[in-house]
Amino acid sequence: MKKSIVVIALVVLSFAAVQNAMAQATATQNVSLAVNAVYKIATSGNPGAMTITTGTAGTNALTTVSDASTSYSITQNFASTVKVTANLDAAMAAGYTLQLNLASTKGTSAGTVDISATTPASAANVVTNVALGADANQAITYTFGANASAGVLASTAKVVTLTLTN
Amino acid sequence: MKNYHKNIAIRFWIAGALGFFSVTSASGQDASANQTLTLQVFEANKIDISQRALTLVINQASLETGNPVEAVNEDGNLVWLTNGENKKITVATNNAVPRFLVKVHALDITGSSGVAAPEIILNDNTTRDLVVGVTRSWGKCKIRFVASSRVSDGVGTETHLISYTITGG
Repeated sequence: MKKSIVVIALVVLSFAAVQNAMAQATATQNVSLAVNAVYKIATSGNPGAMTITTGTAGTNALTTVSDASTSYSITQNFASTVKVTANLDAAMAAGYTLQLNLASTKGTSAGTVDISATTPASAANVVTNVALGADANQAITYTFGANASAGVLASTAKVVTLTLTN
Repeated sequence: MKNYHKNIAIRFWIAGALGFFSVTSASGQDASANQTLTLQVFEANKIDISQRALTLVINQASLETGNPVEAVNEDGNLVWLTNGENKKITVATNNAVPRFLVKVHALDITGSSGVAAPEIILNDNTTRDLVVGVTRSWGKCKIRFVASSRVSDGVGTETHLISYTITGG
């Protein structure tokens, strides 16, 4: 009996000791998290050269050429009102046109948009109401046109900027 | 000792979590992307005639002169396109020695440029100017054929294969 009491006491004492040790084995910290707005857009590269070579007798507009070899991808977590705009580094000269079509599964594509007159200060909406999330490898289609009255055009580089914005 | 290791582990986990979130919030901002397009326009020249074939029949004579009356056709339209400079439209027949007289002339030129040359007599297969001063334009004109003969030419038939060419510059 005395032995059992001692054992029980030892057990109780051990338990108490363990409890006491456990009570001092945790500590708390407040961790503050922040996720900022993320806008990310990238393209797959540059399209191939677009060269106009022919037309129809009696018609000023030469036969247009198109390129759909590139794509774009976006990621955004900001709002469902985010849009994609497009602009040229400088407006096209008179008699030449450039149209752009961006496909989209996350937003509303504006279809084929004439970006001939756009500049860095004046961009055109090409996709609107882009939902939160990612939209990968969506097709970009360019269409280049020219009038016969504009004459020939030596190889010219034009820079198109696609911007993800709210 | 066990508690010491446990606390160290907790601290490492929290530091790692904080580090992860701070990296995530700083990495996002590629808000625009550029593409470079290469554009060019080569010289393009196109010409076409609406009337692929026609027949001129001289079957009357003038009571006053006794000569056959000319046969005239103005049903054909010539259309063209060029984005080049200082072009002209020429005309030629493949008939090097025609028996009967055929004349051709461009009438009612419309479009941004081009002036009709004087009426042409197709008396050999030499290439001659039909419309001149064509620069960066599209246009059309009526083609007028006049066929005539002399009594001494007798009767008969002959053919001409007429070629229109936009050239020069």
